[in-house]
Amino acid sequence: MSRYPAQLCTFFVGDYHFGVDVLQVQEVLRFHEMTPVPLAPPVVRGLINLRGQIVTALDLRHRLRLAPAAPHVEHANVIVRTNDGAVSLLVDEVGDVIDVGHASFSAPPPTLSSTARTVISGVCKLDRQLLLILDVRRTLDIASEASEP
Amino acid sequence: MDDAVREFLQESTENLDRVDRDILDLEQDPAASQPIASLFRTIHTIKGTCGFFGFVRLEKITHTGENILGRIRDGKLAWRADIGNVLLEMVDEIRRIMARIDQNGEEGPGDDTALLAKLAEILEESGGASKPPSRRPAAIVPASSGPQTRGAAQLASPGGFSAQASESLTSPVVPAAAPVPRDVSAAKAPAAPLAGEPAGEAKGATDQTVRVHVELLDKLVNLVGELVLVRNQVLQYASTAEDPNFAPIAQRLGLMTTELQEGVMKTRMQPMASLWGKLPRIVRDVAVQCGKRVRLDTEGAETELDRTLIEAVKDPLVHILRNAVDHGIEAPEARQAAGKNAEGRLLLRAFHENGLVVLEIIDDGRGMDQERIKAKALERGLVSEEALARLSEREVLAFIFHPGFSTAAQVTNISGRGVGMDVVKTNVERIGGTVELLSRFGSGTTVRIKLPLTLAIVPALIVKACGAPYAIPEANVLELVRVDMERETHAIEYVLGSPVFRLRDKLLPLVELGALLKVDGGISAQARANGELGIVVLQSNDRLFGLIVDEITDIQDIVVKPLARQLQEVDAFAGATILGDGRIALILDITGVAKRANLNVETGDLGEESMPASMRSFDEQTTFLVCAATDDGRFALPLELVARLEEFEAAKVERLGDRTAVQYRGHVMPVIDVETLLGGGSAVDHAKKSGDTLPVIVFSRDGVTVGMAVHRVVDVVEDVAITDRTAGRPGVHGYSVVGGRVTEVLDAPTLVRRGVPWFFGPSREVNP
Repeated sequence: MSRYPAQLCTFFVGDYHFGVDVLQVQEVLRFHEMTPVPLAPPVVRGLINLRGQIVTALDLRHRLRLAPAAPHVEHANVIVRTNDGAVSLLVDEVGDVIDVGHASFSAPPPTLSSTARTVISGVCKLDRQLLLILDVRRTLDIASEASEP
Repeated sequence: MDDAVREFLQESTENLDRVDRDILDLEQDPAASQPIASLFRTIHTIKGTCGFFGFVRLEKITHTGENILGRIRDGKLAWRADIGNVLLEMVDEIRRIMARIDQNGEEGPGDDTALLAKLAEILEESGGASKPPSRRPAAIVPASSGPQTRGAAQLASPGGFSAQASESLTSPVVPAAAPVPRDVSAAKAPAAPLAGEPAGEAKGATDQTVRVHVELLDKLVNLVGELVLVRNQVLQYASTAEDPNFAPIAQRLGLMTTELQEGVMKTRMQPMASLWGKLPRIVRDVAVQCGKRVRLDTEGAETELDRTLIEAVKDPLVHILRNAVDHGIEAPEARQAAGKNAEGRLLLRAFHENGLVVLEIIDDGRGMDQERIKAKALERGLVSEEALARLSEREVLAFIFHPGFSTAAQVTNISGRGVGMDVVKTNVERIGGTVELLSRFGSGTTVRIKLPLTLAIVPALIVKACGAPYAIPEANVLELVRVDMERETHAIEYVLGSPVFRLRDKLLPLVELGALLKVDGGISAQARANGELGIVVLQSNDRLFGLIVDEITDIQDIVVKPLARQLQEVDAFAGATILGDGRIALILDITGVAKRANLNVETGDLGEESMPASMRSFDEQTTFLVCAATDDGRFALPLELVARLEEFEAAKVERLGDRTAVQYRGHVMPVIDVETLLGGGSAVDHAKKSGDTLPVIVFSRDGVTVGMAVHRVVDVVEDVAITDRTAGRPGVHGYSVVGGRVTEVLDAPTLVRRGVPWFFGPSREVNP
């Protein structure tokens, strides 16, 4: 991504603070009941009925190779728009929408693992914490996940 | 762009398809009067209408074409093949110009002199000079307002003008008078021409039909889909609501929704003919390019299919046809050398079967060479030599569907570049269909496409497994069985861990849905708690199996929603839907489920269709000969294959090394010992030892006979169905229960071939 977004929808997964371009986010939901899909890849946690629309929910912890959350934790849903319809990213907690100046962006450090390098397009240096910018398209591309060591 | 112009383009495009067909009909039968009349009308209509809009190039071309057609119609010019070619060229040029009008609203510059010269040449030799149209149509109808032009365009449709009017138009002598009678007939007697023109097609259709944009139809279908969901929710709620007034209202809503849904779905149904109209031309062009002679016949053009499916199946169909002409059908000389008619035959069939639409493309060409496919598969490293030897004919054919797989020795302009059948398969599977390939080397290939009628809303059975609802499209369901586990404790039996069910004397292999989806092992706790479970009898690729579910709850119309890209790999599901209670149910893909349960045909034995006609459609053969082996084991084979039953004195059966033969009707007939082939005892040895007579089943083929020695013929029985194909071994189709005994159903052709390889051999087989 050559140009960084001006406004970021932020959320928390594990110890990290993530952001995606607010223009890609359709809506944010608190916990929503999920129908699991047997035989699905583990990153797919289930399907949710979003006002008659069926939306696939992806486990962001799994996608980012983070430790699984404690059972019965109620995830929040960040619903992002894609060309193939809406997809929900399951996150621990939803943060604020923040405006960021271009100056605060950096490229991701080269020492990142290959999974992280695939899905993180940049780092935003906030006052107290680093905000990791998620590349939505690559995050949803779980076909490439298998080839990432 | 002007609405009238758009209407003109739309109508003309449809008419041009018919022009193609008419020209091809004339090529078949130059004396036919109907196609020439229809051709003339169509071209004349286009000419007339483009005059209104001032499309000069189009007018010039169609004018000359019309003159030629007029002379043919009047018997002044005899039909010839080269006239057909020039006329087709003309149609192509008209299409090109129309495409440009569609894009930019004008004809654009272009040089038609070559085409016009060709047309003029034909006209001149018939004695009629080609005069350019002398009138300037724009000047004659200068202030054509919207409604007027539309009226004229309508009038210009094939049935819309009187024979008299067209007469006056054909004659170039009275050009200026031409538009007048047309306007008159439009204004005063729109219905009159109908009676006077018996040969016309689609008469008066304009009065009864309205053109609607497809986008609008699609939107309506989607809306109805959503409405069905809401209806389901309302009905569900009504069943729990306390207000007594609510239930009848909800019911009425339900009825209306169903009717609305049926009506809207019908608006999108189109006959196959709408797709097939373009195909004869494509086949002809490819055939001409390859120097072949091909006749395309169609059956079932009236079969209706949702237009989204018709659209989706168009490209695959064209591809298959091109392939069939280019690779399948041989050059005329080669065909004659092979004892076939020099003209190749392509048959396109469509029909309904089990709630599906079946499309078959059958050619009588050279068929596919198993050996060549095998060699190619080895060369490309798709399979090891050992694995290849074990593959059935059908499995070998399946290599054709591998990406980039082509056995064409030569890459031609038309096909053979190795992109193709895999794309066909992917495209058809994307719309919920299946593709099968049946081929016999030397005598032809059949491609069979099965499609659902519609994709949007399907009736489905809702079942539960481990607490979660699943939907099974009703088209797959054959019957339902409810098993009371307390009373029928042994309803479900196990064969080495695999559950089976006796369904009216047949053994039905069972699959536990919960276990298959890995959500539960075996019959679930819930089913045990309920004390009953359901078996859904399903059919996939001609194979029956039962799906064990905890509960069969309901039949609902469901709206199929596709699964996200992240779930495409899960072949057990075809999509998802929202039920009346708002819950999400996954829709089972029965082919995928069968594959997962190892019930798939491709892992099985020889498919039925890969056998010659006499051995085909195994499940249709209901009469079987049951025999007993020396150890009293039972086996059966279709009686239809058997020419005769004979008995020989054991001493007459002679051993020649490892072969056995008997003198029979003045010939030496080889005898195979079925038990030995299956790895058991030997009926021949047993008879020789005991001195009994030896029963021999005689197979006869092309005047050659082969005997199969058996120990004892037990009975002839009807209604034998193979219930368990998974338990089979080579040469055995599977197991059945006959008269209370487990009986092996033999694959006689395979067994005989093993003993006497040239008999039933591929090169001698006839096409089904």
